[in-house]
Formats: sequence, C-alpha cells, structure tokens
Amino acid sequence: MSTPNTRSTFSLSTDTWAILLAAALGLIIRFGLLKSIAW
Amino acid sequence: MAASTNLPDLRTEYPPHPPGRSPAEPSTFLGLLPGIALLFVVGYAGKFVEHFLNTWTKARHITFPNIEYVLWAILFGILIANTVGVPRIFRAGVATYDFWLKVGIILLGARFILGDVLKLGGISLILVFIAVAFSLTFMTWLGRTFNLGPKLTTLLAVGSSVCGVSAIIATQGAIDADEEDSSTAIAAILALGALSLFTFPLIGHALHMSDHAYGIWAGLAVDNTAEATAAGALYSDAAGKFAVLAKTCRNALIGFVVLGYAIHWVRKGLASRAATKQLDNKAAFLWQKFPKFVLGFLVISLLATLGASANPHLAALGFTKPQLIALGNLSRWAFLLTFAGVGLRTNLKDLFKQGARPFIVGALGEIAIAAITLLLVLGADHIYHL
Repeated sequence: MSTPNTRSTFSLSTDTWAILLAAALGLIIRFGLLKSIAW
Repeated sequence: MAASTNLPDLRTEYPPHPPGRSPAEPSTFLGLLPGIALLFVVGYAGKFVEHFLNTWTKARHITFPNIEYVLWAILFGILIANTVGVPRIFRAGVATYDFWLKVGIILLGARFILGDVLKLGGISLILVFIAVAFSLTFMTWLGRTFNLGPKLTTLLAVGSSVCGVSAIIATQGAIDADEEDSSTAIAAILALGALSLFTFPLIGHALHMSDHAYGIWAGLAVDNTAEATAAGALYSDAAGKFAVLAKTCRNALIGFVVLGYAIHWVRKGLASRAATKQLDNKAAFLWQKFPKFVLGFLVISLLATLGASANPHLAALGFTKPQLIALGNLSRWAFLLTFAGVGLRTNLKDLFKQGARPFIVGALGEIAIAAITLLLVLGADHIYHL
C-alpha cells in the first residue's frame, strides 16, 4: 500500500477523503445525476 | 485517523520529494489543482499515445504489441521528473496521486462481486500469510548476513513483505527507527518497485500467465500499492483488477505485522516510552494501522452484488449494470492519475543514492519473494484454477 491513513490539507485523513469522494460519486451515479462515464 | 497518530505527513516524507530533498509546503485546495491537472495531462497523454499507436499501426497493417497507456504515463512522468523536474507549484497536487489510488481502489469494488472477493481474497490471504512469513524470515536473515543495522533490517523486511513505504513509515513510529534508516529503506523499496514495473510484465508474458494468476502474483510480490496496481495494469486491465485485490489483502495485514515488531522491540527494551505506550490498547493500535479505504471497497462491492441479486428488493438497493460500468470507468480515471504520479515522483538519481548494501539486500529479498510468490500462485492456479 502506498500510504497508511495520512493526514491531508483539511485535517481529515486521505482514507477519509477518499471514502467521502467515492461515496459522493457513488450517490451521483446511483441517483442518475450522471448516467455514464466514458473511458 | 485520529489526531493522536504518530505517523508523519507523507506529503513531507514521501516522494515527489525523495529523502534529502526539501519537503512540499502545506497547500490549500486551490494549491493542489495545478499538480492534479499535471497528473491528468500526463496520464491522458499516455492514453492518447496508446490509442494513436494502435490505430496508426492497424491502419498500416503493422504488427505491433499493444502497449498499455499505463507504461506511457509512467514513462512520461519519469521523463519529466528526471529532466526538467516537477516545478514547486505542481508538487503538492502531484503528491495526491496516492489519494487517487485509494479512490480508484474503492470504486474498483464495482467490478467485483462479493463472492469473487471472498473466494479470490480468501486464496490471496492464504498466499499472503505464507509469503509474508517467508519474506520476514528471509529478509531478516539477509540483513544479518550483510551486517545491516537491526532496525534497518526490520524496516526492509516489513517494506518488502507487507506494503512498501506505508509499512515502513508505520513501523518507523512503532519501533523508533532513525529517519535515516527509514529513508534508506524507502529509497530501496521505491527503486525496486520501479524495476518491478518493467520486469514483472515481461516474466508474466514469458510464462503465458493468465490475467488472474499474473494479477495475483503482482499483488503479492510488488511492494507499493501504486506500483502493484501499475504492474498489474501493464499486463492487462483484468490483471490490474486482480493485482489490486491481492494487494489489498496484503495491506490489510499491516497492523498485525507492525504490532508484532513493536512488541518485539519493546520486549528488547529498545523502544521509547511513547512507542511502548502505544501498545497499551492493542485493538486500537490495529485499528489505527488498518487501511480504512478497504472498507469502502467492500461496501461498493456489496452494493454491486446486491444489484445483481434475483430478489427485486435487494436488487433495488444495489447498483444497476450501467451504473457499475460508470463506477468502473471512474475507477480507471482515478488510476490514470495514480500512474502519472508514480512516474512523476520517481527520481532515478535519488533512488540509487542510498548505498549499495541496503539495495542489494532489498534486491535479493525481492527476487526471492517474487520467485516464491510465483511458485505459490502457479500452484494455486493449478489447484483452484484462478
């Protein structure tokens, strides 16, 4: 693993920020605000 | 993580400012944007070159192997970092590559049904236990043979057996190792990680390994998660997915290994009072070291599994197939930023500055670990048909 739960700029750990961003993206997709993502 | 953690802020300890270099200054959200934009540009350039080469060679009926964008992104990053260098304005943002790695892993849960996670994760965990036991023993023996200091040996053993730089940093705090020892161990592990990016795919192709088997091997043998993910993705998209799964199992063990070493050094009377005090509550210690983003991965995987359920009530709770595809693609974008960061933080000159002995010990250990894990994976592939 690259880093253990390091602290980031806004005093939350990077793990927490990563979980929050992933949760936000999950909700956006779950409720159809974003239908598809190209790759 | 709680404020009581004694882990250092990796943005000041970990490349793109390798040991001996001036650390990044704390940055605001806006201060991160230039570096994140650079990650995107470098990663996207890799994707563009892959696509361009494929269409160009196909149009001219030239037989050319498909080189994944991952390799281009890493090479472009290494080229920039080792020629013009990464200007200060980009450094804080480039250091977020690790954050994108975690986001990518969590979202990757969308590409795994929980049953697969349990089956492959279970097999991986068994292999991880054997590999970690072997690595710790072998590296400790090698360190003694080459007369390395006991704490440097411990750091190298933990770094090569569990999860690279993070394990070294977690252990440094727990055993009171010197900054110099941890810098040396980190440099050795990073140098070997960079080498594995180029050697693992070649070995995998030479042995005609399946995506599953190769991915699990990369996840078991390559130390840092970013490099393990890249080494897997260099082989194929599917191999990258399995490399992350195996690596995540390995990461989950970090707390137990660090705890074991912390107890060992406290019993020897060589740990500080602060390090000894950490062991008062072992459960809290384990939780503190546990990589929490793994829980996010499991939740997304659970929601992916529910979405595929035959029970309409359960299926309504989960993600639909198009939603899972969208999440899987978001995960790929997050990894694209990570791979660009892997290249941009690789400073070839600094990597080989740490002296020959730790590098030789690390290299010999890595070769042995790669060989043993390869045998384990080939054996498991034969028995379980990975």
